[in-house]
Amino acid sequence: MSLLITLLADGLSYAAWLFLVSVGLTLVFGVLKILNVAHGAVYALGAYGAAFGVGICVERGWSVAAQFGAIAVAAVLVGLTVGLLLDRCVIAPLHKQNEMLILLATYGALLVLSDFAKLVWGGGSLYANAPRDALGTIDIGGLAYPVYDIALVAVAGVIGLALWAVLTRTRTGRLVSAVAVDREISIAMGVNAQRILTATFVVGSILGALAGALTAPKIAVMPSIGPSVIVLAFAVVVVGGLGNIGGAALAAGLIGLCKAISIHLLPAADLFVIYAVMGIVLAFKPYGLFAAPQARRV
Amino acid sequence: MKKTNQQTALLFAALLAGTALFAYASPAWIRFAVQGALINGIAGLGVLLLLRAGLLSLGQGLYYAAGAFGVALAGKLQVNDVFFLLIVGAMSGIVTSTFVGMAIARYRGIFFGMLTLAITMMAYGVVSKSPGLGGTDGLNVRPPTFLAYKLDFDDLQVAMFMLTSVLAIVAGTLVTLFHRSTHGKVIDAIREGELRVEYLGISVRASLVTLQIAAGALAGLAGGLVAMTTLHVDAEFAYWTTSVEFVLIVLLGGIANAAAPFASALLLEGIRAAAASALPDYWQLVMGAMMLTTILLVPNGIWILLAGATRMFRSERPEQVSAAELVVKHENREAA
Repeated sequence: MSLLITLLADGLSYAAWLFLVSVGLTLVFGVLKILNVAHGAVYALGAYGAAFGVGICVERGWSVAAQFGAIAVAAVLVGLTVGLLLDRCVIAPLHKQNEMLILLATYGALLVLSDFAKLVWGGGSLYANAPRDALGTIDIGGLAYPVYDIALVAVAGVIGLALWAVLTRTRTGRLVSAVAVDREISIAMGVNAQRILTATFVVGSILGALAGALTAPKIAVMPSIGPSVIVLAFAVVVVGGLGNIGGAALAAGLIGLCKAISIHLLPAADLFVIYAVMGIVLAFKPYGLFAAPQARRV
Repeated sequence: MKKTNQQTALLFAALLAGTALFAYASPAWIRFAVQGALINGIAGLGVLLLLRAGLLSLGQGLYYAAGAFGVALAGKLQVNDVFFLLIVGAMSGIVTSTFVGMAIARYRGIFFGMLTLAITMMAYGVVSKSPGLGGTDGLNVRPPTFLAYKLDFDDLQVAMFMLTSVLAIVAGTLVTLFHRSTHGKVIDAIREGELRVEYLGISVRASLVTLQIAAGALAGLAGGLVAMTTLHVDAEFAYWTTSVEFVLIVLLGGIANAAAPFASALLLEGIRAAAASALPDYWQLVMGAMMLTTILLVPNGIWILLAGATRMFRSERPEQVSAAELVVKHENREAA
């Protein structure tokens, strides 16, 4: 029984993290139809920003609330700045080009931004574990579990619900959906599509930076975290169905649970279980769990 | 201007003579870097073939790793001849790509890319955890012999460079001939609209599986070459960044010409060497900036620049044929 509870707790915690990492990516794909590899670098910069902010708070003896404030401010600042920069310098100039070329351009941006973080913060590891330690642990099935990790599940849930509500219940959300479905008709109807595309890209970047910032207290922040996380995020997005936020949530849950099971019961499969899940899902649902049917082009 | 067979033979002879001269005259590190670029170019040709059919493969590293491990394991079985090992490398790529190609033949677009990525990452996980394949440390490869001749290390490196150069020329020529063949035209047509190709009675599935096998053979060959040159193979060969490097080479060069992957691989290797010596800790920044600049300024690939430069030095302009003339020519041929 305690193993089952441990599996569920670990699986849910990992799933929440996967969802946070991939939700910005799937939002950007859903509207702009591009796979943004630089999302990994935004995640890393968010983590660096948060570690830097938390470091200052701890150095000056500020409260835990201030440390959480620093995490949020770092995420928004990094996401806004890097998102706008990427949109203006990389995405917008290439908007009429093939999606593979845009993917490659964002890979170039990933390389630049990853080394930029190293240039600013050095090649060593940064630690920002103070807020996680301050929240303490909770007993789950006889296992001391960090409250911070459980709180992340709630944060992921709130972000998912907020996105769903904005996209389906507000005028702005409907405009975003309209641009995602048919950009040309939206422009013909008087929608400022370019502004919506830019705003969506920036929001996606803020979500990526927030994922990094919230992960910073759990890990050693180092330059390699960006490239390693982007492949996982891709796997979640593809399994869920590209551009589908609900699909990403379900895919994150499925992969998180499988990862927890493999860590506890089959450690040898730990390295590739995520890709095995992706392969199995795509074998039965070739376009992901919740992808819309596609007509064959004549 | 159409090249005659004599001109083509002369061009090949000149290329081989230049390669031999370069192999003996250049410093070892430059020769090694150029050889690395040529090997990447051979593997990149497989990505180019698939891209011409509209398929972006993020799993070319799997076939590359299959070729490299095939050679390493054959060495353990006392198989040492370089030519036999090359066949082993290519066959390892072919066998792997046949299974993978048949399993994912119905996938297109980003799903094809992600599935190839998933399969290569699963292979990476399996190899990393397999003591028989060296785990994360990898396997050492026995130095190969050339038709029973055992060469010392320096001579072996020169010989491997020459062999790589010859194979690069042969592979590039075969891919060019393939592009000009009927099957090559079918591949281009599949990219434009595969349903139309099916209506013509051609099996798209069979064509794409064949392409995957060709891509596997090229990557397996490249993997075998790298194993026999560096004398070490490890799981990183199947890691996703290896596959992305091959894609990068092809997209930077463009897919119009089989020489383009070699040109872009040489350019990338040059940039990497320059960046690593000038800014050893920040070479990715320089690489990324160069990539971005190239994509933003020359989105069709650097081959367009090279082709433009060679046209400037040509005395004769290429024959310009309008669409109307093409139709008339076609009708005349039909009537005949």
